[in-house]
Amino acid sequence: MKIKITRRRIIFLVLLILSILLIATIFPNIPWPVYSVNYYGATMGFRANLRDAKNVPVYPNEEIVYREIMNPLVENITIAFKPGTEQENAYDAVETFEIVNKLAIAFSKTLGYIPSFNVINVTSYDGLQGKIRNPIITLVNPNYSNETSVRLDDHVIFITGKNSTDSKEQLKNFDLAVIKFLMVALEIRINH
Amino acid sequence: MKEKLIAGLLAALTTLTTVYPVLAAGTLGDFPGLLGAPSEGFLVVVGAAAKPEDVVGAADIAMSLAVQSTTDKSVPGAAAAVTGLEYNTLDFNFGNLTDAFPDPIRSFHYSGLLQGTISWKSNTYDYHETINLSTAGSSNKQFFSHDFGTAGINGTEKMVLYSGRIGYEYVFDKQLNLSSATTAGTTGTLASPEYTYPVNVKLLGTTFQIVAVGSNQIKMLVGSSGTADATTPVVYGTYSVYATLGSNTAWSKVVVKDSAGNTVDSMVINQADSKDSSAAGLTIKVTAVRALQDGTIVGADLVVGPMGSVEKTYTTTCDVTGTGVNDLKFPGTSDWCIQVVGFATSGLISSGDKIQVVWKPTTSPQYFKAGEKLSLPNSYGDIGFEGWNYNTFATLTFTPKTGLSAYYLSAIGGSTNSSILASNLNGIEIASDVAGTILVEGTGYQKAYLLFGVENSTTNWLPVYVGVWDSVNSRMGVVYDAGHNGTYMKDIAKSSVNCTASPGGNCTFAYNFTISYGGGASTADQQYLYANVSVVQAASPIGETPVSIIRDFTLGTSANGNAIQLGYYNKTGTWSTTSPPDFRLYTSDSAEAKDIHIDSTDTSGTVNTQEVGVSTQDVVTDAGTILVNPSSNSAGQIVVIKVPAQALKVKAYIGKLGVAAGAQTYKEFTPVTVAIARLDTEVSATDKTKNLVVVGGPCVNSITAAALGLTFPACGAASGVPENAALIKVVKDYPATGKYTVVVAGWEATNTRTACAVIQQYATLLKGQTATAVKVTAATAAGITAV
Repeated sequence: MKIKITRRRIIFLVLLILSILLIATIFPNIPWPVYSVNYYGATMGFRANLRDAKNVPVYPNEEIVYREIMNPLVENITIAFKPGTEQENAYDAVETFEIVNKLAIAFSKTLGYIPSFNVINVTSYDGLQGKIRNPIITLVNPNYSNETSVRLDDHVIFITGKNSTDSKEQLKNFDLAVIKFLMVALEIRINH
Repeated sequence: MKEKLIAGLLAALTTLTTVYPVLAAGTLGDFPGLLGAPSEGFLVVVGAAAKPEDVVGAADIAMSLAVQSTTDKSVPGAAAAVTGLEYNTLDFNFGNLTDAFPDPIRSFHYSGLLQGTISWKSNTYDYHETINLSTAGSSNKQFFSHDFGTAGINGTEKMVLYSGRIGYEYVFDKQLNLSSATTAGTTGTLASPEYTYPVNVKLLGTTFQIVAVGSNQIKMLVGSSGTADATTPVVYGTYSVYATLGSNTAWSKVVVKDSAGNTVDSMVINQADSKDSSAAGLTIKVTAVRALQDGTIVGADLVVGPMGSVEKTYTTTCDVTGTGVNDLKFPGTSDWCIQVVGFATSGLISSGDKIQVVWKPTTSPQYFKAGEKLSLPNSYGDIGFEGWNYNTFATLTFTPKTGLSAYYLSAIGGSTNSSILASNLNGIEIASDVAGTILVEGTGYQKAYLLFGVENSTTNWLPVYVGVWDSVNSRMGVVYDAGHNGTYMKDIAKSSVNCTASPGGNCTFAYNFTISYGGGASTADQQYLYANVSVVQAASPIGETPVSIIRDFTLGTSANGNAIQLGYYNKTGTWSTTSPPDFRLYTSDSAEAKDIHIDSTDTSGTVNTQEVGVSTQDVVTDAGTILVNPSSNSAGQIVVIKVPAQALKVKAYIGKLGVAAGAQTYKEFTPVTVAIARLDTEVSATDKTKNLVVVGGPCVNSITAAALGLTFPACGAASGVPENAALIKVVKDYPATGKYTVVVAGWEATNTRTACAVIQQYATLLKGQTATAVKVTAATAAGITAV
């Protein structure tokens, strides 16, 4: 059998190959939103896009925060929050769940034990005294913050979401800060 | 097509097996399994109008769910490892250390011992170190013993070490001519020590400087040695000694400072001379001075030690009692002293000359129990007694019993039926903590019996039964023999051949049990339990009443069958048609020395029989069995004996024993879909395809209201939540068919908080709960009631 290759067919094939190459090159680099990761075989979902959380600043740096929290010396982790309006409380409850649940899983997987967690309410974010065996994670509600960040200061980790007039934006900022903290603690890397 | 059908069926089966447990679930006891683990995700929904208590509650639930996704795994511990030599084949009766260990121990046996070279005047000289087990040519063994008759051993296994036998040696392997240090060739002798070029050696890690040898003696400088200048001290204890000024090869000024830096003394000392510092209690010897023309010290070689003790002469013998210059103890010890072998030629160290550090305590011998060790100075090495070769034992307990019933046993290895063969039986129960250990006619049992019935009024036979425990029916059985002469039911007939003389003689009966750990010990490791019954004056065929009975159990190996003898006597003195004998140890109800006899090899190797019934510690016997707490058990007429699974040996080491790693438990993460928290206002249509945990009552959480079929907000009585309490409820088919919602709702926020605490303690408070809903008034078992 004789196959006749017409000029039109050649052009079509070339275009097809170019399209496939283009898709193969571009597709993996499209920054699709990431809401879940595979964590040691488990699907771990998050409340917001990890790509957005990736850029939240961590002070003094991610390595120091990681060593502070995922430290085999840690026996008890305190979550501190400042009671406020019902909405503020709701934010704190949701973020507390996210932190405790995912940190507990991370500890059990990577260190073989789960430290105890306790939740305290405070009237001020100042003067908190953490220890290497008992670090404190302080949830700074967006209503009291002008930045979205994770900041370690002498065994106290401050997670802050930037204030906004839009309540959804407020919550999203808080989510991003919490997710960034969890990304650091759980060593979740988003490449681009 | 065919493949597609199979694949489709498999897929359907997989789906069914995944879904079925969820469909079957629905009680609180299934939480959190009913949340869809391991394959389905779920959400935790908090009301957008939350209280501070809800924040705490959220943490409780988060912890609970995290814990449920882990399982506790244990890691077994690891035995301590030995650096050096370790043997578990030593004879516990009278085994010498040298039966297993080489003598001497060299560096290739134990890496803590050194073999190498020292440098002296730019030349190198070979040496090696050893540990000796018979330093002075031992006439006394260094052995293991459990001799009951020796105070300090008392029946407990001990390592017995004698003074003067255990030692360390530093051996010169190459000739060193100390006299050649100077051109005159006269130094290095006892009369003219060589202080400028001493030979530095390290004995057991401590530095000594040999300055003279000859006439089977050596002279050494002892203490801290080193080079000092104005800023760098030689430190001894809490004192630092500086060399601040000097004249080359002539003298040095030394300054002594305390730990606070205060000068406590200063003095000028000529090279090769020493002076005492009373203020510091030190003697300082200057062996060499290197100084500039202006007196600046480049380096002064000093030896600093206890006053009057930095220069000592060691001979071929030593003890630990001398003081001052006669204090020959190794520095920092009280039981080790230094002596030498060789060093015959003045100024010459010959190959094979030895410096020995010998263990010479004033009290000898000394006894070391399992877990103890003799440590060389500076922890250079140990001679340690670790324990037994294997710590696997079956524990036999002998207990007098009364009023037992025996059931018919079909055969050894068979089971009993419900018919009673004999009742009102007294005797001894022999029970093992390891099933199958007591072999009766080759079959292993956990319990066996030697039992006695009342005298047969017709035949005057005195019945004796060998019973075994029927673990299936939980009763004791005996094989019936119609002729009363069978294997498992024995009679002592007054007129039978069991009686040695008639009338007036004794009648006897004997039976052999075999003790085999779990029924699986090799023949060489088995022990033999021999039951001997003797009825005194029971021989008359017509009517003479037997007045006493002696029961005698012996337990031992084939080589030593009488290592333990238990004397159970009939305490009533009668064996009649109405009364069987009743037993106790020896002649009283309290503990007596004669209750139990054992064979015990003494420290000269002679086997003695000892009465051990009132011993307050465990007693090892020559057969390798261990009599447990005789005094206490004898008082209760009980005997407890540990029988080794394998022939007993001792485990010991020479070298260093590491640290055993203990067993540990860790939490292993089971991959499940990890929950996400949502506000009720955030829950989307997609979210409603998942299982939910909703926190907060229908007054504050719209999803709770929807799950309970209420209109949001539903507060107070309309909420359906019990007043001043909380509700934990599983709602089926919400938010979608086949899905579940767990409602955690309180009357007030504090009640919700309490319910969350219950969830947090799921394993102890909710697991196994068969109800679909409970009322919670407190986070305790009593505070939870099904509704």
